[in-house]
Amino acid sequence: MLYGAYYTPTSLEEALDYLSSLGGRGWVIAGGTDLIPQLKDTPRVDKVLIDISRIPSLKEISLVDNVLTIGSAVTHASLGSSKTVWQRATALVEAAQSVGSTQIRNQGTVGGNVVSALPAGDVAVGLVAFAALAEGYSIDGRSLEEEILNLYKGLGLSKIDPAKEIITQFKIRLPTKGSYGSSFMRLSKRKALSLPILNCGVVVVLEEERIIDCRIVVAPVAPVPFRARSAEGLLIGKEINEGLIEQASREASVKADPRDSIFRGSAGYRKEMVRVLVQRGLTKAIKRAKVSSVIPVV
Amino acid sequence: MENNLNLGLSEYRIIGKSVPKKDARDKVLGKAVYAADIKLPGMLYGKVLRSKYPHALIKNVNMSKAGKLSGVVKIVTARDIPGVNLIGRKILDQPVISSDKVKYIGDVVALIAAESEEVAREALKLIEVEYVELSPLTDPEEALKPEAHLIHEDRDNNILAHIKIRKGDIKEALKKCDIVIRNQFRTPFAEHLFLETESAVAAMRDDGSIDVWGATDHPFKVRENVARVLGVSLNRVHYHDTTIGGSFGGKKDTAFDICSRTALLAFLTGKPVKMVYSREESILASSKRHPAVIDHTLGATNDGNLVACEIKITLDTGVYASKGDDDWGVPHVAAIFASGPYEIPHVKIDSISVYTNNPISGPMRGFGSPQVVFAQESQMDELARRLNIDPIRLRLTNALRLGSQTATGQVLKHSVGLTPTINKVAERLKAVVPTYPPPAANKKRGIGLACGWHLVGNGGGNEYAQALLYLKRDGTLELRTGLCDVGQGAKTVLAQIGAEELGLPVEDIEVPDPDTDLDFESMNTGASRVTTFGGNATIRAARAAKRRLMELASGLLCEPEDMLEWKEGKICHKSDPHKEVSLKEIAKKVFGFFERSKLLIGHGFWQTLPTLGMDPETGQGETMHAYTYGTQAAIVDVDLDTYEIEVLKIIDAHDVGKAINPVGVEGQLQGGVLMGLGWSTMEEVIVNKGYVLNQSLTNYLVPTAADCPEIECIIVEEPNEMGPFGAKGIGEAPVNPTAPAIANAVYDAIGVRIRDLPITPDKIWVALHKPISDSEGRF
Repeated sequence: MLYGAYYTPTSLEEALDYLSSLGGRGWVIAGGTDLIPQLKDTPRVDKVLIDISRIPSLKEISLVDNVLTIGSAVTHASLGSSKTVWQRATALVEAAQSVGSTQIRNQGTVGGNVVSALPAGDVAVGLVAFAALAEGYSIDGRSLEEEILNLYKGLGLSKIDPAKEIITQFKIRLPTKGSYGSSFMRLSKRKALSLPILNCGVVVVLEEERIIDCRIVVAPVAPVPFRARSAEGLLIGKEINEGLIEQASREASVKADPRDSIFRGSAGYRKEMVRVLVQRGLTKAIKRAKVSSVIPVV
Repeated sequence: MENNLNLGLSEYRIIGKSVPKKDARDKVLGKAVYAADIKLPGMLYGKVLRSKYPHALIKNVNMSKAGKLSGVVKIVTARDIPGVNLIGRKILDQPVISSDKVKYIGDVVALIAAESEEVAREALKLIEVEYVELSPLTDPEEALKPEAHLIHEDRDNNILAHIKIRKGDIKEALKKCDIVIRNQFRTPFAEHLFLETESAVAAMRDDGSIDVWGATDHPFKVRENVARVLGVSLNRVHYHDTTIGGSFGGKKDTAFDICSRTALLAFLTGKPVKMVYSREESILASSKRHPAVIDHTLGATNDGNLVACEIKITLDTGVYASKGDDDWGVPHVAAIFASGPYEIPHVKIDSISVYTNNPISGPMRGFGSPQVVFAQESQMDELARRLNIDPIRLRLTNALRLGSQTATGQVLKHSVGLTPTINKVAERLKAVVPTYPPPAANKKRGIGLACGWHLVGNGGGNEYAQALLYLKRDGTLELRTGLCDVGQGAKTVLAQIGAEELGLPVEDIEVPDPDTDLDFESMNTGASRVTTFGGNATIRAARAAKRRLMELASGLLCEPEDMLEWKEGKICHKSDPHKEVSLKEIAKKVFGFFERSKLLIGHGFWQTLPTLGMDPETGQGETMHAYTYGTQAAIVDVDLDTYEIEVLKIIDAHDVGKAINPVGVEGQLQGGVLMGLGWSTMEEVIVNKGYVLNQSLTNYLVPTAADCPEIECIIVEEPNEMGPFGAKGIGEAPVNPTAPAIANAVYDAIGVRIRDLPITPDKIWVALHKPISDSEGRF
């Protein structure tokens, strides 16, 4: 056996009850695409898995008053095929579609991608670019609310304790001023089912030709997704031009700190590719921002 | 080696017609039975404890904790082995269980039989092994130095084989060349990655003999290895091959290993035992494609005539011999094919295989050819560019044709279809290239060409196969050759050949999986030899069967044999149309009420001339009865920012002599190209200081369906005068030219030549830029 027992609560309250009655022996499982392989390596018969993937409220995607809410148990497949998300947060759809394989996308969840805290979880990188807030509850009744980037504790380590806390949803406050666009880029050794050499999420907010806000996230070039803040700083408040994009891309590349990786590639190549991906990502997001202003609020 | 039949005929009833593979339906429906599917009452599960280090002394193995675990039935170490603690194909140097020393990271220290797989796995953790770590030898260059430790203490040095080819006067010839190109090429360890990992089941019979079920492409060698390890005679081991989930040459050594270990546990416990390796274990246990370092010198005249070729091939054969030996092993084949399918008057080749503490290198699709073809064809491309000659023309100028002399001095007398494959690929390129829209602004397109040639059979004289044909009670036939269907379509092709000869439908010939109690030995399934060797034996068995059936019919019809004739599966009277008898009727009469299930009606045997062979010092001689030739072109786009390579299309033309089952040939061409594409662009078993770093499919990448380019297959047929209906082997050849075709296309696109496989964007970038030092990045 890989674990002691397996519970399938159908409501959040039930799930929290299980966790609190198990006193630390419970372990939240969503899609299990990261957890089960871990358990195969190291079985934990002392643990009881609490499967939150059957709680309907955690599987919803909604858009209310410019706030996009994505349930933590939403699968990559359903995020990747959501029309609302495509219109409002294109990068997330692109990110969800580039996760693993069909089977993994059908099974894996958005919440799992964040809590696994791998440095280059595709959807997590997209969410960081949108400065999404994670919301949830702790067994002591405390509600949680935290920007995703702050949930990363280190390589593969999340501040979320799966024995005590459940992430319920991610909230993205969409820009209301100007027009915005987003993009997700990925470089990998083959076209499906492979680790990213690099990935990159970009969100750009425009007012006419001026960039009024911007977020650039690159991974894995650090133990956690890397916000290229100095590159963002170069762009914000400026009129778009190719030279500026080039300059910001170079800045992101300079500040990124990839290492030589047997599986992902040499540091030199990856550092250079940060520039390429950021440049392509910015160009695509800006292009999308220029046409997005026509999309009405649903 | 008499010629075979019907070469003049253009139209056959079955030969040359595409028929579905005999095993496809069962595989698709999930009905095919693999060794891992077998369950026997009271069956135990076996597991192996592998080494922690690539090179270490074993000081002590403490099994007391593991032995106390409930459900553990037996723990076996080297001293429990009743027979000889060695397995192998020709050179026996791999222990079933290491006793005092581990020599590579996959070596086995103990075996466990337990009541369940979980218990067995748990028990592994409880075995305490004390090691004294030794430093491993992992670089063949280092292993060649006199001060290097001996991987096998009973040998004089670490050289397993040194094959030489000497033709003409290389020194003088190179001096006279207008142009000489020297380069070094490197290729990596590659994994066969058969879908089915190693599996075996073994069970004792009441009479003390043992049944073993497994998946191998060399059943009789498995029997031999199991018998040796158990210390019993060959006839005490009944080996049954089950459905084989892919082999690519790899299910030899690794089948000897798992079958011997499983049999050993069954033998020592008296109970049935099953063992199945996980993917991670399989990557440690199975042999790999030999990594090669190739120093290649090619000399030519200004007008593109090849004059001289000097090649040194250093193969890392890893820890155990497998087929790295000098008896038509991988270094042999690498040497024979190294100077390409070209006529070159002066050739000097040294092909050396060297023992190291790395994983085992062994036979893998191409058997030494992919490595040397990559070097040779990259050099040909470079030569064409330096001389400003069209690469197609350069190859046509030098191509082997009828009457040409190979590097080993063999004069080619038949079936040399290289030129037509070059012409057909060139023709298709001309037609296809303009149909592609121009590449995106940030991409450049390139086209690369490469030729290749390959063996048909192991090589050397007296290579044989045999076939048995039985008449069954229902009037259908059973064909047994001892050769295996590893997915290449052997069952179908052999049945087609038998059916054509006998005038029967393909469905009327059943081809069961080999069984050492029921088959005759036909040597290995490999070396692209099954269609030719097995086919020739089948034709002979069919002819014998016809004679036998004629005899039976004569008795049944009370007519002399000379009044009867064979017509489409029936025997008819030449003048009386009422007198005829079908196979079904013969069977009915022969078997009557007796329960004899089948009657042997034909045996066929075919072997190559004893004169085939090579001089040990000069390598001169006739090596094979025929060769397979091919040409591939790759059309690629290279991204100028990321250096990603997108292979848009591969055009592959191969001369197969005669396509017995064209759809099967196409399957081999497509599969070979895709395997070649993986090896060219992403595959590499990364071995660092003797440790395998990518032991799972997360990091050992092979192409997915999404990475598969369009593959256009062209079949060329230059009849093999000694092959069945003119056929030659095609299992391996198509894997060979793909890497250089892609490498040459990348050069064509961006002017960067990568001589170190796999060709990755990273390597292209490094070739174009100076990399930053390791210390600069931290994450």
